[in-house]
Amino acid sequence: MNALNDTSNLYKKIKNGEFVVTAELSPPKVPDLSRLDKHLAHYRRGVDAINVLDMPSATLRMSSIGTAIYVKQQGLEPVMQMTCRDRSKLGMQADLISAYAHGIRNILCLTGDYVTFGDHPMSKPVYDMDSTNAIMMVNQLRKVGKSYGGGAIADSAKEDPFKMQWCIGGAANPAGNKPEHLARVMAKKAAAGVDFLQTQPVYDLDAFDKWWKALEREGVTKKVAILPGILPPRSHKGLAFMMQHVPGIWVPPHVEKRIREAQNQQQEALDLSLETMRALKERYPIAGFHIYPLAWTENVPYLLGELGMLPSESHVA
Amino acid sequence: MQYGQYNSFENDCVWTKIHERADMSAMQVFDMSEKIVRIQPAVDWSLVGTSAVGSILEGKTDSHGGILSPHPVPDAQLIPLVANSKA
Repeated sequence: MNALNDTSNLYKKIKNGEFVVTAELSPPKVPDLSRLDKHLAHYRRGVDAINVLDMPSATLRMSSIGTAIYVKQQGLEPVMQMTCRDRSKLGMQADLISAYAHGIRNILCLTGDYVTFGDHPMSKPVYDMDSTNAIMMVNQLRKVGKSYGGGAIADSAKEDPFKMQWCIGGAANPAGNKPEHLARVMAKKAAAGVDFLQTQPVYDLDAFDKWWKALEREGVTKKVAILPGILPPRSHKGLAFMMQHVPGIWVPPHVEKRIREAQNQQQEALDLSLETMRALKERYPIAGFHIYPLAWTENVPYLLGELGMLPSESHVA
Repeated sequence: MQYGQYNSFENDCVWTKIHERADMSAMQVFDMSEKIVRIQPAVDWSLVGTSAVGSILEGKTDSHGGILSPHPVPDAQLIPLVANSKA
């Protein structure tokens, strides 16, 4: 358990300029946390923090906070994702205090997929704020120990406000058709207090380059740690599904063709991911990678091993 | 399909459209390209059902709809204008 005033290892590593790796974990749909164990085993070496999703695509699953507590209990470091879709300002802050009390120190603030994308289109979308305001709210809890309502985080007027040492993350898309517009939004997140940005999967290095330069012009790359997203698709079918149904995904035609025509599509996708990771690490002062393995978490140690980023067994906590 | 456009046309990023429209010369009358780079406070639900003009006159919001004290807002130092953000 982290000391009450201690921040996360992820935060310390980012601030020390160490290269970090984060990877995603989708909570189960049934109330059986043991189903996560085989995935967590793949994350014990080389992964600094595990993003616990908050009902991705607005589809019902176990909560992010409940799963993040389990990840923490297993000796790993979670990044609790928190969308603005399902809770008010009050509810979000209650979860933040609860998560902090359970030793969770990393938070990823997202606006959240709209409910019509998921299995409860009849549900009320809350959106009491957007992701930038959520970042600002967490930063205020961290910097001055005050809630969104302005009250101190304290049990009595005599007590000093408690400043929760959150490490704050946000999401970014490096492949929009107007990088300068996307960079403006990232500049707002930087001003709001974000520490790191995890991007959507990168398949187009030219698009990433234009986006990175736009971020540089806005001064974002000097203020915020950037973790490009890596998603090796399992097959061409999986890639095609993402291209058609997942907002914000851009796969250039030559990449789509390469996977489609490959004899072993899975291995080709892994090779493509490795090439992308090597190129990104070589060309840009990125802070690390954010890996989306989907259900195939065994791909994470494979990728890190091929890149020489897998620590030996003796270095596993 | 042009560079960087999402593969799914239906899901083009709405923010691109918002920024493009804010940059249109006709919108400069409303200072939209300046407003778009500001962090706008979240909606104050205590004002729902009340008059927007009344809120301005009563000093609850500014003329841009921004929330003023005594309504809860993050500390002023934490709501910075985004510097150097004009693309």
